[in-house]
Amino acid sequence: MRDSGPSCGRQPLSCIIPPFLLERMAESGDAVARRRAVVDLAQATAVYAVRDLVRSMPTFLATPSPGCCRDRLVYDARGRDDLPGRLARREGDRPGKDPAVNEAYDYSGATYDFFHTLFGRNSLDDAGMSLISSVHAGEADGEGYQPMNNAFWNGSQMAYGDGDGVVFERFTRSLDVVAHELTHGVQSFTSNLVYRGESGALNEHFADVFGVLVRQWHQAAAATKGERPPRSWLVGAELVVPAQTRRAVRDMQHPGTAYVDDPLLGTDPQPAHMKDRYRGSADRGGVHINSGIANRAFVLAAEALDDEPWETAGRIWYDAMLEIPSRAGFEDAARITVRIARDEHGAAVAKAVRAAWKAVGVTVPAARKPR
Amino acid sequence: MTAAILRVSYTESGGFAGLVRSCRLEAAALAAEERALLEQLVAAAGLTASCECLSEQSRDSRTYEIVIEWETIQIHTVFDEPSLPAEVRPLVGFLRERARPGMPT
Ligand SMILES: [Zn+2]
Repeated sequence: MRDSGPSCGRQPLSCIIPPFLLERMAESGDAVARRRAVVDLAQATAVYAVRDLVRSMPTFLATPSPGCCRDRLVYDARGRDDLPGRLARREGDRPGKDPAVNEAYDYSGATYDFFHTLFGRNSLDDAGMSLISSVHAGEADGEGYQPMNNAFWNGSQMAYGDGDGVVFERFTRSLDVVAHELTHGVQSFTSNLVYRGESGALNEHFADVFGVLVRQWHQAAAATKGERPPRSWLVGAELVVPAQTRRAVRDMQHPGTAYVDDPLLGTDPQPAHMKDRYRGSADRGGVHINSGIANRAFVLAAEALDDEPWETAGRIWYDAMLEIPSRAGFEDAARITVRIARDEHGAAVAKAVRAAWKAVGVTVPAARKPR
Repeated sequence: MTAAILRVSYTESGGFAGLVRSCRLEAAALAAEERALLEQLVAAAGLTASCECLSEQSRDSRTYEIVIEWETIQIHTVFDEPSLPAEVRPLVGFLRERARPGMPT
């Protein structure tokens, strides 16, 4: 189920030699290189067509559920990377002994319930798609496999590693991590923001927003009166092995402070304002870095409103996630959220959302009054 | 055969946590055994052309950027976890062990 892992030129769907380089090779005096480049150029044209089709029609990647509604399947990858692995728990099965299986099951259920209860959404594709998770995923290191120190969405399912035990525990420990991965799934069936640069940072931003909102909503529902934990905007707090230099993977309220001078992690690189945005090429142009700017805007908007974050602010951001164009940037996100706020929730809410974006350096011009 | 000039720059980024780790190795500055191993891994990786190989559908996969300067040739490659070729994994394993938090200097 995993994306194919080929060498350049052998498996064109995931492999792009820059066309200018292919063209240069096609003009080369070396007959072998020329022949290869001509073939690759022809494949590249076909590949772009397939990629556009995949982007516009993600539904053909979905696994339909046998029923109408919530359907969870949790697999055990047994330390390997050939997903999904062996089926460990299906919808309706009782809990087993493996905490990773139970967490993936429970937290994907909580995420389904959040989107269904608040927004009437029936799974990632809004058509009852099965929620497939693999736990105990491994990664090849050239000699064998080691526990994966990561979690990801591969276009059709979630995968969670057990962590290295030094910096990260198993990735299913945090509900906001599981909900983050599932929100990537929701996005792949809706806006499908291109995973690079500002649009990629927005993809990460929406995944963080709904990751944290699912946790906050779930904690509020589970708490009895007076026992509700204080509102937290940390991402992955349960995932990190505690140390004085780290407290989470990200802090949506105070980007750049989740870990500081950590001997193994370094310092959290997230900016909190456009003036500090990352402009380099790492991380696909900073998709996990610049998301901090939009994350802070969301927190400022949510905290300025006098209801729960998943109510007005969550609703605005959910509607924005469905309609935002796939190549949108921060200014587009700001403009769209302000418009939805004004049209659906009134001028006072729109003012709070506009002020939140302005505080992180993204200005939305005020709407002109009709003459 | 030992190359006169071999430099390898490595940047690992992304993943759910978005961590950035990097290193820059100059073969001439390495101990003989380590230098020989680096040359062997670079040769075995078979990276003969610059390319960017990134999955379209995957989210939160790690990204690996490897720049090899060998004599007068520079090869710049970018892979992510799903697209990383099996023959490049041993080189990445070698570089990961030497990478430290932060962007390359
Ligand atoms: Zn993500």
